[in-house]
Amino acid sequence: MQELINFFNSSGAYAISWQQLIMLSVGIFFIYLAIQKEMEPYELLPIGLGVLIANLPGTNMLASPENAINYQEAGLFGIIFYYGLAFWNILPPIIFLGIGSLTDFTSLIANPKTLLLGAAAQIGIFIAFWGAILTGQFNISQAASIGIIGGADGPTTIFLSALIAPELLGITAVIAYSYMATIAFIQPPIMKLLTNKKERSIIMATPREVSKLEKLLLPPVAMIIIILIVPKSAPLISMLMIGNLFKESGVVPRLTSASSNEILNIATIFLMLTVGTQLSAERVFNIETLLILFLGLLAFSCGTATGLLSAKFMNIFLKNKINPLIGSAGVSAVPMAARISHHIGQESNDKVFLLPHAMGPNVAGVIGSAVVAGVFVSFLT
Amino acid sequence: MKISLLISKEYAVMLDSEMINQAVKLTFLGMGIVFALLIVLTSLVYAIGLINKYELRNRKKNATSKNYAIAAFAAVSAIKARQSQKK
Repeated sequence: MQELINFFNSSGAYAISWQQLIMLSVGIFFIYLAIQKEMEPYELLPIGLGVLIANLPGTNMLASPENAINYQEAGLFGIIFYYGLAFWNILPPIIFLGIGSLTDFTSLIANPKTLLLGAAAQIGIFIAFWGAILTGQFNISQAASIGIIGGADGPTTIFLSALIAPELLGITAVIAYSYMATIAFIQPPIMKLLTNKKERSIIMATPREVSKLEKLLLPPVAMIIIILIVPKSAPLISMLMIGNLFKESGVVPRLTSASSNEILNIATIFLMLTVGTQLSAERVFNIETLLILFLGLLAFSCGTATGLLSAKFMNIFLKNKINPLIGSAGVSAVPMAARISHHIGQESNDKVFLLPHAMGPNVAGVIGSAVVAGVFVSFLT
Repeated sequence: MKISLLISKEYAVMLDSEMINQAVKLTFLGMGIVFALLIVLTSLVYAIGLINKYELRNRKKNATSKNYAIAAFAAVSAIKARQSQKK
């Protein structure tokens, strides 16, 4: 009988706390959103499963190899976290390889000024960064890690957090992906508030045709210039451009396919599960998490607003006006933000077709947020 | 040095002046670098577009001269055919 009692005392059911029970329901809620509502399922499903694993007591799955003294002491997700993120930080760049091989720079090449909208939308990162500083709760590295949520780019958020504020990795990543999943609710009110119907109804000319030579030249030249100026952005930018050149060259279909399918999928599985496992109850239940939740929303909203306002500002000087709605796509969140610009445009005027135009600032936003991450890494490590 | 930021009568936040200085530097440098870099990239993409324009113009020119050659060949063959008919 005593043995049975001892066994029960050592079981997870005995050790589980109310905070862990809440986190288990959060994990189940993420799984529900992914399966039932199809909200960012590739991210929220593995993250939800990771949350479940992280909050089941006594599993030892998160034990880091750094602290292991004997063989077999490190846990599976502790190992993946340590080598994939904390120590080597290789998973986000691998994801960028896949993103690169799926990205089409055509609209950006056809309308290069949309790159500036991608830069303007990064202002949201710095507003949230200052918001975090002024709370007095975070140090400068943590503030930068919170600000980058405004880049609306999951892998960039993870890459930066793992480098400069690993203690916030799980929470910043989950908040970034959660807001990306709910961007369809965050952006439209801001877009409607900052534009009038006339502006939203601006019809943009069909983008010009882009030659293969242009598509081939952009990735290597952009990669060289960006890395020469911000070398610390190299892991993300180089992989993005390598993946894109694989695709545009047309001579390595197997590599393109592997980057955009197998490699991207494998990296996504490990990255998202590991991010989920960082959401243990003791990390989540504090005032800092609530603050980050608010600051992340502030970052997303400000990025959307500054992108829109910059497009309006550019229109003062442009002969052929651009629809300011494409400015909000500068926050990255590819391709959801571009789709939202398109839908809001169509609500005002069904002849407005913004998708190809909005993809320009959308892709520029990915480059912009990776550059900001590189700048933060340069100054804070 | 600590700076006290008064949020309300009851609540004030103590901030480290060194951290504020670093944050100001980071903001200006960060925004500056991002904008400068993306302006450079914008010009670069325009330049790539110009190369493409030049290439397209050359291709058009070649195509036109090819058309002239074909037209000349057709004209010569027509004259020759007419001459042989006369004979």
